[in-house]
Amino acid sequence: MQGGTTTTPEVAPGQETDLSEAFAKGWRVIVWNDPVNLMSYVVFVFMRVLGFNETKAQQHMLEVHEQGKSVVAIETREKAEFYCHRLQEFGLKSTLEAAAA
Amino acid sequence: MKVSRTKGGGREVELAGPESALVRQVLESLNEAYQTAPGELDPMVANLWYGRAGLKEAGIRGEEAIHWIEGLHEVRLGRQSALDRWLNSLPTAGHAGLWNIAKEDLETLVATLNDHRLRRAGEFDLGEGDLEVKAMEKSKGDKRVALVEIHFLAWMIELLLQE
Repeated sequence: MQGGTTTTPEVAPGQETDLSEAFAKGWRVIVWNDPVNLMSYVVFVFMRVLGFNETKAQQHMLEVHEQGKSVVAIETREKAEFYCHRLQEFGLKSTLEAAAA
Repeated sequence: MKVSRTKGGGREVELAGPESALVRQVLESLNEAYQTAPGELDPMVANLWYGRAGLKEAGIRGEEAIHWIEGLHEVRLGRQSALDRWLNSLPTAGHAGLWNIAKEDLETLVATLNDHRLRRAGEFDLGEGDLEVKAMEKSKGDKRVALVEIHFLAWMIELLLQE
């Protein structure tokens, strides 16, 4: 069709991998144990930030406490970064990790 | 200290004189610490509030890492108005009285009090053993003061979350 505009984004060779990595739920959000944060506080933060119900928040808190860490979310890069940052805003020790790592 | 839930979902905190003095001191010192740039804080405290652990491994480097830390600092700077509000509503320095916390302030208050616990633990590099009540009884000087604050705020956070 003449005069029409194309709406299909052009993807340069090599960019496909970056895009699929960014949108795939391939990023883990990990919360690490620390001696200061209270168990009840960690449960509260999990419920507020991650939207967990109390039972799920308790399970993850106990995992952090007993095993030293817990994977609290597996998400797209953007969302994982958001959760990780929010958890740090509350003083929890959290990191991001590629799921394949 | 006694905490009860208000009709609106907030909290009414009944404080004895020394307790209100301690809370005031905590909030005032946090007010100052929040305004301090991350790079100018005690490195141990900065590590707990603005830690860079895991950023490099997650591919967050350079400008992105700076932006990440700035974001954490902005959140704490954003607590300024709440801190002023709480300081104004606390009983007069050293006096017993009631302290009312609005429902919408509860989350920020708990996070702020927790920040003070982290900060004091960072200043004295306190580990799990140090944080036991028995260790507090044996500690002396400034470390003992820090531990008293940490345990008092733990009690307060527990009560605020329980109600």
